Amino acid sequence: MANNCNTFGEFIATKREEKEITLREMARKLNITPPYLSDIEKDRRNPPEKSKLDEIASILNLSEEDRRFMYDLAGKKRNSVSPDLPDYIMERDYVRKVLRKAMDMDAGEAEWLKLLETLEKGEE
Amino acid sequence: MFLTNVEKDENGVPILTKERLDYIAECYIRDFNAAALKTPQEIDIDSFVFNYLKLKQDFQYLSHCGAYLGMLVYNDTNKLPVYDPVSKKPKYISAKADTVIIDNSLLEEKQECRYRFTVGHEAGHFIGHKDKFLQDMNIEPQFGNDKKPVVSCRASNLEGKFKPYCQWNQYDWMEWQANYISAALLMPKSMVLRMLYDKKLLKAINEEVHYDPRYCCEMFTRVVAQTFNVSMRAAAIRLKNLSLIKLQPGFCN
Repeated sequence: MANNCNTFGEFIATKREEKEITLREMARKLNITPPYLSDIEKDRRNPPEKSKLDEIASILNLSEEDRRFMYDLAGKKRNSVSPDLPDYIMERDYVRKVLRKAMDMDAGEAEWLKLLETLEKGEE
Repeated sequence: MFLTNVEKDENGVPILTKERLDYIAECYIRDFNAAALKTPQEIDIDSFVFNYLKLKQDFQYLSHCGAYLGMLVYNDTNKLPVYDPVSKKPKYISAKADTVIIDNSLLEEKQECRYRFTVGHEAGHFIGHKDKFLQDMNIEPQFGNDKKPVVSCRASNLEGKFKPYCQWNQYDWMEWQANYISAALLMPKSMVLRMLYDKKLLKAINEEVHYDPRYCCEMFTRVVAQTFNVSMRAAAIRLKNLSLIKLQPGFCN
């Protein structure tokens, strides 16, 4: 149900309510103030930094799929890349090489899905 | 949920005796956490209101001076006025129906008891008055030409300070009812009575005050306040409403 959420704030509020954690309790666990958390949940403020996002994921016991969905929503809200990706990209020259090549070729969905298929086959 | 077949006055305000309000509160507490009606204990009012009743929560400055401590939003709105301490002016926020907004001042140190009572008070409005407020919105504006879908609760009312009874209007009645429901949720009548009839407790209190009856009442009020995690004032007013003590002027001001 939470994955029908369109915004980061809506998503974490829904997940928190599903777990029957009150807003004040969640704020306590995150060591932030309740008004700040309330503003985040109501999308009045940007999502916090990645380390805090990881804490949120841990408290809410998010699955890997939900965690990544949360990162994507956080990125969208901040108008930037999903926060789990920048470090991975910047620590690997070859990843940036592939991204720039794809950018130069104006690679579309088909090309990227083919690459994803190759990577998934490699996993098997 | 437990407020059925209730008579209403000409303004649509439910007519509820103290006994009925106590009964309704205990029905809710029993459904929420039956153990809380077996031993006198602090009620987790946050969990009751936000997990069990499924209301939402927000925190704002409701005024520049702490005059308003709580607010219940009973219809979606994009134009809810609150105070912005940065610009020192009112600002508008949006809020969804069934949201309890608590004044930020109640998050400061030593305000936990007031916070708890205020949350219970707003729950009281939700339990007792939501239908009436929604009906009023459809019939007539509450303030001037603006149909504000909220009820804002003054600190003075939450502290039990009302104008003379003969001057009460429908809103004063509803504020009184919300106060009573909050007290009944936080300090269920059956649990208060259990403490009163607890011989061991009364013996300990009497020993504490050296059997001086002048201090027995205050000590019992203190124990009630500590047991249920409410203020001395809330405990004193509760005991008075249950006709268990008489309040002297200046007691717990």
